[in-house]
Amino acid sequence: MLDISQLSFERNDKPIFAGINFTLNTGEVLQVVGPNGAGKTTLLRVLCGLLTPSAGEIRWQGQGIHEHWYDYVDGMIYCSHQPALKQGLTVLENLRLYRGVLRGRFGDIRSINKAMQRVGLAGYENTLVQSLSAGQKRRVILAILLLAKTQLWLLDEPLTALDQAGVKLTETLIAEFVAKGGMVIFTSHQPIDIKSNTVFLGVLN
Amino acid sequence: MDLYRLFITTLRLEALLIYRHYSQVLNPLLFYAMTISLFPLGLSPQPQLLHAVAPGVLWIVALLSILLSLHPLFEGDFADGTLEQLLLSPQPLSIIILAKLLAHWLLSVFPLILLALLFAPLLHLPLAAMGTLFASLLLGTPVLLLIGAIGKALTLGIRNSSLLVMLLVLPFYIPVLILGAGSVALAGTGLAVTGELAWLGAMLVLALPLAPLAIAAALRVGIN
Repeated sequence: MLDISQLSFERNDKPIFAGINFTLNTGEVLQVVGPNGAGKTTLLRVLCGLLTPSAGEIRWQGQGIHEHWYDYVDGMIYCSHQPALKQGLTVLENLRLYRGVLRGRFGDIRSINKAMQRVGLAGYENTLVQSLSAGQKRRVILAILLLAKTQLWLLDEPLTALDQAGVKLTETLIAEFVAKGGMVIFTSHQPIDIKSNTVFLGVLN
Repeated sequence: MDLYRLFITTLRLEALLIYRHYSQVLNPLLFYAMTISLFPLGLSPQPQLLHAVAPGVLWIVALLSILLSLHPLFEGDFADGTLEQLLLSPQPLSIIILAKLLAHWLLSVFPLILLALLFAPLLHLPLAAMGTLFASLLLGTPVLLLIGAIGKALTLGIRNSSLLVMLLVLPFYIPVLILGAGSVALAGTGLAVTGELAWLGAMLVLALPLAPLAIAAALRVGIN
């Protein structure tokens, strides 16, 4: 459970957002919408702990995230709007980077192959990420999401650059993840089609 | 065992990245080779004169080359967003940083030491001092790299930070330079150098566990 109370953030004494309250329970999805510059990305960066809020509290399973940092980062994965991949490494090497370096718990080699097939990248294992298209890089991130054994996904604009099939796949993956008790917060301008009555809309302005 | 695997994985992937963009590493090495070979031409080819300046020149140019090689450190990670993932990793950041720096040292600084040995005869460095040159660079360059990485981590994200990094770290380089060049000069005259080398070793032992912690803290502050 992610519990946010009176969350505010200001940059150079200029408030970006203030007084945000919400609670996300297992199996729930929150879509953050708002015009460009409303602070969606900043909100996500505060939620993942990269930025410290100027006021308010974020509690994960009842504990403050900055006090219980390792419990939080072990249970959460944040995906920035630019896919965080090493251009000079192949897809498989990037997955190894996430498996060995960036994540505590991650799928084994066999599940890596399965995830690659699921996201439609089978056969691209040894391709350098720099020669993939923007949409394919997104799909590598989807594979990482499938493999990272976390309970919370924080996704910044996960649908950009994806084709229709890719958007559909993302929706399916999110639906499957929350059905298994996961939680998702994502930002997007597109309405997302998830057959679930636990999708909430948060408006920033 | 888990930390060992984390260290090895990071080292391998980082080395692979540096290897695939080796031109970036090549510049400081070329700078070293060119500058050293200009000294006999610019000063004078007289053995006595070169013999006297050789320890200082070999060390100063090595120091400058390392300063030049600091630029790519963490820069790629910062640009592609993997640095954020590093900061959000449940793994200990200082181990990851240490592995990255070791990869950098092995691929871009160690060749520099070999170049120094190769070019030392050009400056008429006495054969007796070659062993000390190797040992002092082996102990001193990791210290320079570790200190430089702190400066680089502190200035990450600032545009045109190269000069700022140099200003920040240069004062801390001076003791290493004095001890390093001093030990080589002493060895050339046949005196014992254990004291200088021991001091360099002590600095390395101090910097090795402490610098990665400082770098990790600087990176966490910098991303804010």
